[in-house]
Amino acid sequence: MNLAWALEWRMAAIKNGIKGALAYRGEFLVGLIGSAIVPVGIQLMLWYAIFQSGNTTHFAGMDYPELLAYTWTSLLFSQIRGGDYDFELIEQIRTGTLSNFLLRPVGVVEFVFFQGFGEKLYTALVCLFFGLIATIFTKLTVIHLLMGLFLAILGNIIAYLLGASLAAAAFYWENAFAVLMVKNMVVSLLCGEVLPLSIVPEKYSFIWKSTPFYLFVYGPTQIALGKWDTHQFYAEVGFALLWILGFWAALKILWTYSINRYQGIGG
Amino acid sequence: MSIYWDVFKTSLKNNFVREFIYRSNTIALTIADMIWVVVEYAFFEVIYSNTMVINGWSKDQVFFFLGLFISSDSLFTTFFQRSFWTFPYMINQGDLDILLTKPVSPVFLATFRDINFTQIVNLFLGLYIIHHYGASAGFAGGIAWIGVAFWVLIGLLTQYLVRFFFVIWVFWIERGITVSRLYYQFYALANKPSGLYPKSVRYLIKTALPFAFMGSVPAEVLTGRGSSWNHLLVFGVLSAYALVVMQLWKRGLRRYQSASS
Repeated sequence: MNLAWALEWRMAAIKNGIKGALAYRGEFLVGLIGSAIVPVGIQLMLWYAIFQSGNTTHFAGMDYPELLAYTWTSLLFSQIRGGDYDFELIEQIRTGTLSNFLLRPVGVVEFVFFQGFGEKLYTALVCLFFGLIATIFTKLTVIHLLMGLFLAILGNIIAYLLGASLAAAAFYWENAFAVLMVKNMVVSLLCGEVLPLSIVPEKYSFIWKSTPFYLFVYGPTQIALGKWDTHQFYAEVGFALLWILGFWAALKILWTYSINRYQGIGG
Repeated sequence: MSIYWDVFKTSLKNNFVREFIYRSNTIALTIADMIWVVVEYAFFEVIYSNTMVINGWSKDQVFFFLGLFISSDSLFTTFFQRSFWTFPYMINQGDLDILLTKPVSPVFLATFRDINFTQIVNLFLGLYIIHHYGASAGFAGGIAWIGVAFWVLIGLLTQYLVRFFFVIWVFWIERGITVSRLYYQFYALANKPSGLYPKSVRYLIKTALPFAFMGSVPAEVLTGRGSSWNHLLVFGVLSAYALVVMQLWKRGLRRYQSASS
């Protein structure tokens, strides 16, 4: 397999994903707005209620403008963090459609990733557009925004590698939907999209610090807001690459062993 | 009526068998559902570790609210969620045909097909949370537990009607799945007590999107903080919802064109 072919099918899969997002533009936008505006609206109302009723100037060391800035900025990155395309893998294993891929000269795990990644790249462009508008009115800088987006994309890769590794459970259980559901719930709480992780009490902070999930939303938001300096950005990118390497190895091992159990009956 | 009971028993049996075919997945789903409760619990634990009261809602009152919300949500998820999830596909692919030929209400068959036993654990978790935080939240206990049962069922009915309202547009919109999924975005308004919202949103979740009937209103009534108008409001709003949904269903059936719909 030469390099040109390797690049060609991956680019084709990404284009496919982007076209998929564009084919149902209305649906894509309704989904994007719905998954962004409502949760952010609820968070904003929560902060307002806390500061209005408590008659206080600080909440967990953050003042009202800081919490608002976190909420609005994290909105950009929460849209990029892992998609649900790892669910496609378990569905293919369960229904037997995985067989179609086994005959082709492309890896199914990579193909599903690049297709989903195409859609996320399109989302990232939409977020970049809104982020650039925000740089005109706020302290957000273009450089910090791009750094945050870069880390969020690395986070997206980590999320998929973890999801795809867990999807190997479908070879044993036939249906591993629940495993990915558990992963999504844990990620939702520990990535920083629901609450800024800095308000988690110190005695519990080891929980989010010991997982890579903070790199999905909290980390990019801190970078975009200038709370983390360039040195920390490089350190976090380094951590992200290590997590990617670790999950990639886990993925290879798990799929190499687990796929032997696959029986594509009637697939 | 006995025919409905027979259908219910058969449905229970079939779904139970299906859950046992995928045993590992069922166990993992049960754990996932319990983790959802932990996530909801952790959210308020973190918030209240930094403040004592939010707009008149203390930590104990919020957890009491959470117990009620989790209980009614678990009942809905157990008996109806999966059916509503597949409802748009059923209309788009013409699978409703077979239900229309049965001597039982097609609404009953369409919304009561897939039962998810994994969620039933959350009903007990919800009741435990109500019991644990009830006294400190101002709940009288004893005979007042009948009120808990009543409000949990009201929460179930509310979710059924609102979910139906969101899903029924599939008769008119080709990609009705989008509107159907939009429900889950608005549903996020349900798992926070109404006191956290500004007045306009509080009004919204007690009328047009009555998610407050799943937790906030019950928690206020059961802890003696609710208005005496609440029962009337609940009756009025849910009756209106039921009428609208029934009319839409009838009109939708007239528009339904089998597999080409």
